Amino acid sequence: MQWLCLGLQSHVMSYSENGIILYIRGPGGCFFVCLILVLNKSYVEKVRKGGVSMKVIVIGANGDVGEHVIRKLAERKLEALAVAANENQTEDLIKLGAAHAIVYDEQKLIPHLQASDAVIYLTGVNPKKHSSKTVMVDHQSISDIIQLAQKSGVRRFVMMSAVKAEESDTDPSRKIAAKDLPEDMLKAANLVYTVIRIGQLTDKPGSGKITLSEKIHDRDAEIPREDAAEVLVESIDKEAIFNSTIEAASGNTAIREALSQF
Amino acid sequence: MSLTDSLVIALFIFIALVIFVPVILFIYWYVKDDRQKQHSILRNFPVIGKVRYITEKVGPELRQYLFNNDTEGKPFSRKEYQDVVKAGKYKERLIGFGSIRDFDEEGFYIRNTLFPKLVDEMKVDNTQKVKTRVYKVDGDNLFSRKEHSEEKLADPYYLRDEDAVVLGEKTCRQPFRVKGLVGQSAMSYGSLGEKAITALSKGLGLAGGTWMNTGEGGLSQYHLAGSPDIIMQIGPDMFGVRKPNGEFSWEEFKKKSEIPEVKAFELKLAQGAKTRGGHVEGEKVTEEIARIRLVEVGKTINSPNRFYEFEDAPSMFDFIEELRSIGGKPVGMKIVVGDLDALESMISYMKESGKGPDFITVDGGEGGTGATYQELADSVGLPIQSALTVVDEMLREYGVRDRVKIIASGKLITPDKIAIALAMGADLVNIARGFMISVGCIMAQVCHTNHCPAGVATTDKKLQDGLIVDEKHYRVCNYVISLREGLFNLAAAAGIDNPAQFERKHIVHKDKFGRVSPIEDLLHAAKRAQLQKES
Repeated sequence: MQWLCLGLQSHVMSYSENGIILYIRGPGGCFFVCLILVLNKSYVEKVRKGGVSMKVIVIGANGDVGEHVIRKLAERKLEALAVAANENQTEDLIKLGAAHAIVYDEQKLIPHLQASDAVIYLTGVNPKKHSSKTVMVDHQSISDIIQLAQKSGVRRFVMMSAVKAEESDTDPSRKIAAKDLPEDMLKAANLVYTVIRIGQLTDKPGSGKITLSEKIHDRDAEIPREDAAEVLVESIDKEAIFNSTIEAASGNTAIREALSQF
Repeated sequence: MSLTDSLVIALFIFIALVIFVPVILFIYWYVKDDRQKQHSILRNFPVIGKVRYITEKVGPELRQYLFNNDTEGKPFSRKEYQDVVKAGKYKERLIGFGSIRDFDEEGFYIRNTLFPKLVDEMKVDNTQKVKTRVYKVDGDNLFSRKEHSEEKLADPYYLRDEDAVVLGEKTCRQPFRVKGLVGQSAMSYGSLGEKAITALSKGLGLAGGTWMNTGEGGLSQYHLAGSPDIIMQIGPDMFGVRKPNGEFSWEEFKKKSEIPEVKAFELKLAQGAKTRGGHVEGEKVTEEIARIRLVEVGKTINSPNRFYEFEDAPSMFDFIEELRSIGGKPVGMKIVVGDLDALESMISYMKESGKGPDFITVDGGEGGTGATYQELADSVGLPIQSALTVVDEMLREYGVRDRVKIIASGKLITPDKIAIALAMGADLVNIARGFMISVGCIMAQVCHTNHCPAGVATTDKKLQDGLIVDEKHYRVCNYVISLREGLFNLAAAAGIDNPAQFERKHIVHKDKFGRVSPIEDLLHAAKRAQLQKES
């Protein structure tokens, strides 16, 4: 249902968060507009009430950003399946609002992926790691997850990366191979992907405001973990950023607005 | 008048100022000192003798800032003081180039394991973040330190629900469940000013998982300002729960027990500072104090040093039973351990009757905020290290340890000291002076004078002007969170997954010669001493 709705919108209109038509693009007839208005409004309302059981699987949920992601999903009444690194963390994740929490196990992941509508993948890429540092991301696990996601038919895949992930492109030493390899693997896959490269993470409370760009000028720009999490959660259904790589840091635009207007 | 003339006049005036005025002053002081009859030094050495009094006056400050080394000040060294301040201000406890503890001296040490717990394996609850503010240093120069304060979502380091410490679990309609092991010890409104109490209340309320003990001076609106969990203390003077004639008022008690923030009550049999009754000068009993404490305005209060309501363990336990059944909340008692026989007979009666307190606060007897007499603070009651294990062991011997929680207090202001107390048998730890430092105390040691320069232990409005509640309450919050974080660090090192698991086996005592002995040895020594007393 929501995919139909989102699909139609792309041709005809964009909408504000209240489901009101802002402008009409292309030769959409009156009937069509009305139909979409109805569909769209009912979808938005359903999501609000928790009626549409959008299921989101969060891989790496136990991290600093992951905790916020789970909480934000719960606040939006989206059903979160948290995948943690070990058993000890699952209790906390349930407490934060995850519908289920499991320990990461590739063998058992397929049914969970099949039951999910979207994946949020939190890598361990750290923008504070400068060129002298080597890769800290488990490429194998990302590659596996992407394969599994394709196999299980989950369509939407949001990955957290870092603003400095692309530095391996220009690194003459060739010692920090492929910090952006995960991004490339995701782009090559048959998924509706969004890679969100975030700035340096801080523990400040979220301001709810960001700047969004294809390439952020200030490579040391900061973003609170809470805001980073909100960007990831809000990205799930923002069609403007489907199949693209964007960079986010603290700024002046409300998160939802920034993502919708990108 | 020519220029020369005016210059000459100016010169004369100059000489008059520079020479005559000091000479006249000197003669005045000389004569005054010589004639006074109070100080012999001044009579024999007029004027120059003043140096003695001036340096004596500023001595504590000079020692603290210049002459004492970082580890030797009392009651707290410069180092200990800074540990508290930095934890509050920067939420930071890192040091460089090693410890400055004197390892040749005797002391307690925590036994670490070969294979500590990983961060991921710790049973900690960080699901609720705390919105606080911390300082960040931008630049540190000789004459100025540039720093700014910024917001931070901090991990609160709560215990998991299943590890929470519960007071009155089986005895009360409303047990007190606390998810942290550190709280604020008894400090009354009156001994601390309203601003300090408000800052503490807000900071502790913000941090959560902790508690605030009102002290015996009654429950004020300042204690309630930040809605922290409150343990209301009741002293022999019954402040806040008394009738005008000084008897216990069940009606007032019921009112207090219905306040949601009030989670438990504590009968103060003794405390470190005072193994005596309180005394409040009539002029200090303002209208506000009178309203809070339920006493008459302007009338001097002399409190008894024991409750009139009971005189021995059976009558006290009956009183506790009644408090519990009317209030529905846990009731504990605060003691200073001295004579083990009296303690033992009480504990044996606990077993016999099945009654007793829900918690026992064991105070080290070192004296805290309270203005007290030197002889009581210095030499009455056992220090906490000796008292704690004895109480714990005695409760175990009589098989009642599971019915009662032990709260320890006495200079336990850093995570390592708290962990050692937990291992010795404490379930929870109370801190008073650490929290005073976190709201600005500079250890001027003038709590009894109402002239606290930091505006903490004073009700003087002008002095309190220095204390900004909004800034200081974050330091209180950071300090308590930082202590809990430190406790988790120590627990991990000891190979346990949360600090509530500390046991005797996790610590040892090392003597001057490097010999290491378990805590049980302390117990044997305490028992031997008691036996000798009896024979």
